[in-house]
Amino acid sequence: MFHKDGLEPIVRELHRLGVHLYSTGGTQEFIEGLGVKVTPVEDLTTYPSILGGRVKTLHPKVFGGILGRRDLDSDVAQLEEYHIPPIDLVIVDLYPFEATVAKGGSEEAIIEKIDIGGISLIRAAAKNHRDVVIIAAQAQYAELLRMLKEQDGATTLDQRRSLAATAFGVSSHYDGAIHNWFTQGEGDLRLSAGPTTVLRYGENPHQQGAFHGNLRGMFTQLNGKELSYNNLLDLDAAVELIDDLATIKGVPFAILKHNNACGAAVRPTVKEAWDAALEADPVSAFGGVLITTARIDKATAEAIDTIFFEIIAAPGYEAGALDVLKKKKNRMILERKPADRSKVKVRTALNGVLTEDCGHCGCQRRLHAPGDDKGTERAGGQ
Amino acid sequence: MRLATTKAPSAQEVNDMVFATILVKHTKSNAIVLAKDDRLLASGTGQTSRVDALQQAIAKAHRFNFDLTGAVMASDAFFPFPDCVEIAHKAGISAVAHPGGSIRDQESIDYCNTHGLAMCITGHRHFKH
Repeated sequence: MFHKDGLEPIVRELHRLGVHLYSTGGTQEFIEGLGVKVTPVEDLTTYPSILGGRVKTLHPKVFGGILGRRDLDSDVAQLEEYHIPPIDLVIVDLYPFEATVAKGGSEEAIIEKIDIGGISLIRAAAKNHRDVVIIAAQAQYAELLRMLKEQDGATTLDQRRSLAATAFGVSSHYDGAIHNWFTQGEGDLRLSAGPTTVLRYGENPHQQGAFHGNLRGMFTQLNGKELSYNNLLDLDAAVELIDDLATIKGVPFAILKHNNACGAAVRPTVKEAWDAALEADPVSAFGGVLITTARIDKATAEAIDTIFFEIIAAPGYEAGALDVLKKKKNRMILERKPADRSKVKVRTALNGVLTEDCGHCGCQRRLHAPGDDKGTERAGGQ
Repeated sequence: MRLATTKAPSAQEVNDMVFATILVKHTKSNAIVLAKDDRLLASGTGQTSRVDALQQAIAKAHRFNFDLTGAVMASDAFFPFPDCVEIAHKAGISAVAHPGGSIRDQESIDYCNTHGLAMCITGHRHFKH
């Protein structure tokens, strides 16, 4: 496992359950450091780790133990014949390929981060999920620990199947990232987005809809009904607009309807910004999406509370403000977290998809005179 | 932004043109945004002609009793003809920001120079569909 954070309680729980552990390299040392007995995979395979660690687990004694079907007599007989111990649980955390690319690693460093053994272990264990539990990423450590504790080391077939689905999601995402790095945007497009949230419906009630992304990474919902397809489109427009307006000195506030701003202002305080924004079109603001980059105080909440709106998104709410806003149970109150958004925009067109970058042009408060190639700033009013 | 007219905008007009340009960037095309003192006054959104977007914006501003004197106009794309700056001028707009790029840009610039409007060319088109 590349990431060891969160591994210790799992190792201790497995030890308590009397599970025999096999491991390699750094993870093996980590387990030994906890005072827990672990068998080096080299002892199982009777083969050393070779080629600088490129080949460690790729051996029939490892993969036989994972892929052997426990209810097939011929498989069981072969495992016995070749002294292959069955392996019931596989935990993998892949080399961080994407992070290495993002860090601008050298080609050599990036290629060494293409995990081979780990991805093979994931695929093998997921394929044989009828008999094997697969944990394919650090993000699943907590889920594994909970299962081990609550179910005393046992799992259900439904759980194993679900874990296998997650595992193939991890492996296909990983291969997609490798493909995209090799093709540098010129090969076929590989996209993966998730997790999936099934929405009540799409843009209209007769259409089915879903969102594929980490909504909880962007917002904590403090009140109100489930976000709809159109709510998410409005929020997308709202977040993009307010982040651009935040480049201006002061507090920005915007009110959106059908992805367009129907009110927007920048003022020294959030209350003044709200008042100024609302004045632009108090009729359209009805049922709108409200957004700001400042905490909502009680005075602002009381002013906002006088109109009907669908959503408010802000980085925080004073306790008194939240009480005021929560009076309407359907009102969606979102606490926005500092999270990155997609840098590539994607939409379907004809029989394919269109993509473009987000196109930050850097609108700036400066003015250049005609023919002024040096870009000297010039104060207005001259 | 690059100054295109003989008249330069005031510091407040420059600020308002940046504010309006940010808003028009995030408004469905064709779009016109009218703004003053860091506030949206009215916008024309998702129209099939730029003149329609402008007239929608002016009508909305008037409906909510905004005086457009000294307000600025931002457009998400260039003006194909000088009609938009003329309509804006007659409504009281004093400064205009647009991306430029029309073969008839000079006609809009000439109108602004004759009638005392300031115009800045942003160089960034902001279609949003």
